[in-house]
Amino acid sequence: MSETKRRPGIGRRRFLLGMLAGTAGLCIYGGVRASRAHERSVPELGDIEGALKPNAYVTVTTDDRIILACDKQEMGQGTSTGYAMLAAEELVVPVERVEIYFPDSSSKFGTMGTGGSGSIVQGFVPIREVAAATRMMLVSAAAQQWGVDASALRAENGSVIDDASGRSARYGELVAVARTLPVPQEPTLKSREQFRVIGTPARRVDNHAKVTGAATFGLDITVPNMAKAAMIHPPRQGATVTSIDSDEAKQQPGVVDVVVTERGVGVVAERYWQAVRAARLVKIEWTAGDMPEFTSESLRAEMAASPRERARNALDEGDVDKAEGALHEAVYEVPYLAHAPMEPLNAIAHITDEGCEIWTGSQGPTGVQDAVALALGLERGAVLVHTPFLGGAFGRRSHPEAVLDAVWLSKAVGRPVQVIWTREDDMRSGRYRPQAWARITGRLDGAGAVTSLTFDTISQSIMAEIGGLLGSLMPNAIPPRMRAWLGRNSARLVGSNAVVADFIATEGATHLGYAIPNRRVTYMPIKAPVSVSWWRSVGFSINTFVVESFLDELAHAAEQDPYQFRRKMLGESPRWLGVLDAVAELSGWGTRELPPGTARGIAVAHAFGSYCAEVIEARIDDGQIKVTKVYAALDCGLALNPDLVESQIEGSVIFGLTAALWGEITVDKGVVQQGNFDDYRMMRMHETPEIVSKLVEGAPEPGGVGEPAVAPLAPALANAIFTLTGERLRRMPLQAEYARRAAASPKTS
Amino acid sequence: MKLKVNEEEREVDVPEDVPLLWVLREELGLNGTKFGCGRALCGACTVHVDGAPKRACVTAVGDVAGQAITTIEGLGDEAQLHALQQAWMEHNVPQCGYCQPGQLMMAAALLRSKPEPTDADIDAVMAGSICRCGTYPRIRKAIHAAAKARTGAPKGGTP
Repeated sequence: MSETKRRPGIGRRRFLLGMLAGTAGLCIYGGVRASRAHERSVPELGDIEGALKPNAYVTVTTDDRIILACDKQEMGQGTSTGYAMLAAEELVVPVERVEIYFPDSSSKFGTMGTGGSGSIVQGFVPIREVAAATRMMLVSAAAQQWGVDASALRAENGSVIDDASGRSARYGELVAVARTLPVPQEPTLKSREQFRVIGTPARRVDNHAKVTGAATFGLDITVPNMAKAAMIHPPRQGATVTSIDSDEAKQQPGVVDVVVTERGVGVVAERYWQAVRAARLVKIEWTAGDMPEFTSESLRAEMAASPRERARNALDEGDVDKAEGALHEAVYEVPYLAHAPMEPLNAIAHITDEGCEIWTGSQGPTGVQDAVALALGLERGAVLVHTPFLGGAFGRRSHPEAVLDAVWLSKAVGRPVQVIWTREDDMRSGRYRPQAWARITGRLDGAGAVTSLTFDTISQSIMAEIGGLLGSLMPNAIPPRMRAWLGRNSARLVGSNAVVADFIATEGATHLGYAIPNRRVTYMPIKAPVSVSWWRSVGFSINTFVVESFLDELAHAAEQDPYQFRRKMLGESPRWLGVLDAVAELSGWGTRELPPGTARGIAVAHAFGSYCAEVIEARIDDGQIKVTKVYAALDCGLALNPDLVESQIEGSVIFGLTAALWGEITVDKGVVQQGNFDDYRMMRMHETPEIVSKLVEGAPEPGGVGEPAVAPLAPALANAIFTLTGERLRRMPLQAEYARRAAASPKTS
Repeated sequence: MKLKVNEEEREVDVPEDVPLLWVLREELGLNGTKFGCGRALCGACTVHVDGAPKRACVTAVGDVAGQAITTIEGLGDEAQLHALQQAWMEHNVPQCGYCQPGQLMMAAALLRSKPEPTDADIDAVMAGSICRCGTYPRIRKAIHAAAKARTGAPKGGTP
């Protein structure tokens, strides 16, 4: 397990995700639940007449096809390849023999959702179990046919083999008999030494579809009689339509209707380009919205000035008030951030007499079911959600706003409607990583040891806004409105700080491996008219920046090497130390001279069950921060596919550096100022540093991979800039902050 | 209006100023060309027009009528994928995959003008194509690998 100094509230989010896994686990072997009687479904890839289908996941056909339902959504992280590998391992076939599909929403899979870097962690045992059970049935079928003991047989490359007699039978030939056999309830799994697929750099199962243009994303789906829609969202959150003139728009070619919905105005046409053009002709007046004078700049001041009476301890160890040593103190700030997945949000809704059918790339199909059911007054099972590939997500696709746009428009025009958000909709219509403010203090004793660390933060609570997801964790037996009410209120309760501090808002500050005897972490929520969400690495993307930058400040104050300074405090945290030492060695910390004008910074984090340390080398070119090299050491325990783990590190580095250098969403008088890639800058090919990664295996089970490597990037970069220039950048994005400092102090190079 | 797409003659009935992107997707059912930004900022909609890369989201269909349009669907064929597509698979390049058709079309245009591109050549041409998943290091490796595979192979083959 993870090693952290006494951690009250350890991994409550992981507990929540564990619940997701648990519900899925319960359903793996079971038959049809009573509640599924009323569940809508249509035939899927794995539903094949005469095939062996002993569980919801695996299908083996008489013509030797092996088909696996991947109940996690594929947004690029590689889970579908991982699940194919897990199944291939226990079915003893090459990975490419496993055909993957993404099943429709169904209680067979419990609550369906993907996040928290949890898919491989959650599926590592269950997916192997369903595959092993299937293999055991095929082996038993052969044993029965040949009149031998199953233990004398082995499975190999899609066949069952009897070494004694030389007989063999393909899986397909055994399906008919295997179908009649009982499903093993406790399948035996291969031991580590027997793995032949797990741990190999297998090719992605979705490569071919994704290089030929054949991969189907939500945007690519067409259903019969479907209309297309462009949205005109309110310019300010909470604004509604007071008057609308759509006469001219309605007369444009192809326009079906212009509809005022709960979240704006939809322009429905036969073709999307017709809808977009007509939308420009609609004249709308809006109400002022929730807080028409709100600016993200004034929120900074409000956060800094907020009295902390409502703050609640997320952690309180030792006694920070009695700690001795010289006091150091700093304030750090981060801005709102958009996710900006390459595929703008989109969804198709088709309302019929039986319920509603949805096609959308969502991270939470069950949450979509619930949101739609609530909007239309249906039961969860009356909503059927189809999930294609997701064109990026990073947390944004956890929320069903585009789906609801489509639902209301389909209801209004009586046809299936596909809503496609423009890039500007995507960037301006909500869900951001929260803006945050944190004051951090530490005391250094005479020997340069840290005797205390306090961390006081303020931000909007993400928890307060995920009532829908909490509701979707609840069983079908609870009526939809009750689930929604319970979800909403439990989320608000956490978000209000009344019972516990929001653990997401403080993650990255609470669970540290450092031996610091006195520590306190407090959180206080603040309200703002901007909807917030998970954003790749979530609280760590904020708090690791603060903690790891400040430890660097303390190291310099103590006149110690930042690596050695951390190292001394990690004696009882071997996995923290393991990645820190690994990245120091990898980067030549203290042993390799850097070219003049280049400096390095280091940072480490423990997130999503894994440990990651990074060293960044950077320089300043013409006032611009230039990252030249990134070294990353990741301990994710067992790496199911080391090549895909490394690709997640590379992606995390680029995603994290983009945010650290340039990422900022600002709001002025309630209006989001950024709209497209010209004012919300993305890292591009020529700006990408060389990335060198190393995997450390500190545990036999897998940890999360998609997010941990984002966390240490910003502080490692800020630490490098300090060493390089003497400027301590305490506010992200770092390029803008560096430019402000350089302007104020001409000496800065 | 007559269009020549992936070596096939196609007839479409749309105003001349409609963006090529939406004609490909909505009129011709060619969904490999993606909508990312609508303003030629991201490269997800890149196609070839008479061999040169174009951003289909800002290209009026009337401007390319009669010219040879190639989309990702026409880059290689089932029997013989383009060397870049092969290299992309060998290097596990795609993550979410949404931008990859545009990346591949851009890289194919690069290899046509520079069969053995340097890193600087790659930077200059590929800088216009955003990948939010961060597959750039692998794209770079795959372009070099494809260039090597093609220059080592007999002349001819797919464009």
